[in-house]
Amino acid sequence: MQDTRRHHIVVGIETSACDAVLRAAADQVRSRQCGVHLVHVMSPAYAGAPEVAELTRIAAELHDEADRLLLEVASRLERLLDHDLPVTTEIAHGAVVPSLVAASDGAELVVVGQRREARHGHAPRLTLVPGVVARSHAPVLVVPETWQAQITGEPPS
Amino acid sequence: MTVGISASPAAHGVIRAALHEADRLDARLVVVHSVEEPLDDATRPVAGAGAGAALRLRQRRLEELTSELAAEKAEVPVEVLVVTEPPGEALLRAAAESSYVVVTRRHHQLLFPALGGVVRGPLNRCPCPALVVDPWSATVT
Repeated sequence: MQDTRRHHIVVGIETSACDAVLRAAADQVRSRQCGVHLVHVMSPAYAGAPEVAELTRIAAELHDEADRLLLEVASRLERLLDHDLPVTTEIAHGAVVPSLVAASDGAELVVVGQRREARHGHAPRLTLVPGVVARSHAPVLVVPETWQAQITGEPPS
Repeated sequence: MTVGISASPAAHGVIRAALHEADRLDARLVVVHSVEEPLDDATRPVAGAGAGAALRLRQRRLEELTSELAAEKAEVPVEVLVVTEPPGEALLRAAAESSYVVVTRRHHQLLFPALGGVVRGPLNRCPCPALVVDPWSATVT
């Protein structure tokens, strides 16, 4: 009997600039014939106490933005997949690494993006990938954001 | 697809995981093993002609191990490379011609799960996706 709880991969989504991650995830989903769970982690930094109205409003706006992000990314991923495989989404609240590690429990694989260089005029960002890789319950596929190649499946639209 | 392995029991798990992945993705597998300092059977450093012989012996043993592990994945073409450059550099050079790289993280420490330096380098610079597996639970499904 198939254990459907394990039959999905988790994809960490930070921003909508995630084409390479989606391509790699689509390859994996096609070859595994499994579901995919998109996770966006919201830091609790802006979730102020309920009595602080301004912070509550900002938190709600950020949550709405995260909802829109996941809907848009899920739609792009579904276009890359030629099967009727389930794509689910989740907004996790907490620190990024522990949240993704928790999401990895029960998954076949975790897919995360790796940013290489600072964007022009911006300082390099600390990557959270090593933390996820070191502690994940499942194997982790680290995808460079510049990756273009396809190993299997359909070309990206 | 390239898999980087060290001379440790963890190699078995990583090769198995890489074979499984290569089979699933219909890819050829290149097993890269770095030997910066050739050793004889008594783990003493050897140089000159002895170094060449030690490397050939390592290559033969690794090919035997890979063949044994690949018995259930006979459709996967496998090539074994024993090289004498630092492991991170060797892996990156092989990765330049690969679609995927498979590497291992260190075994879970009780309190502080670790990511070794050999893995960190390729993770930061690898041009293709890198699959990181735990060698002791490396059943990539």
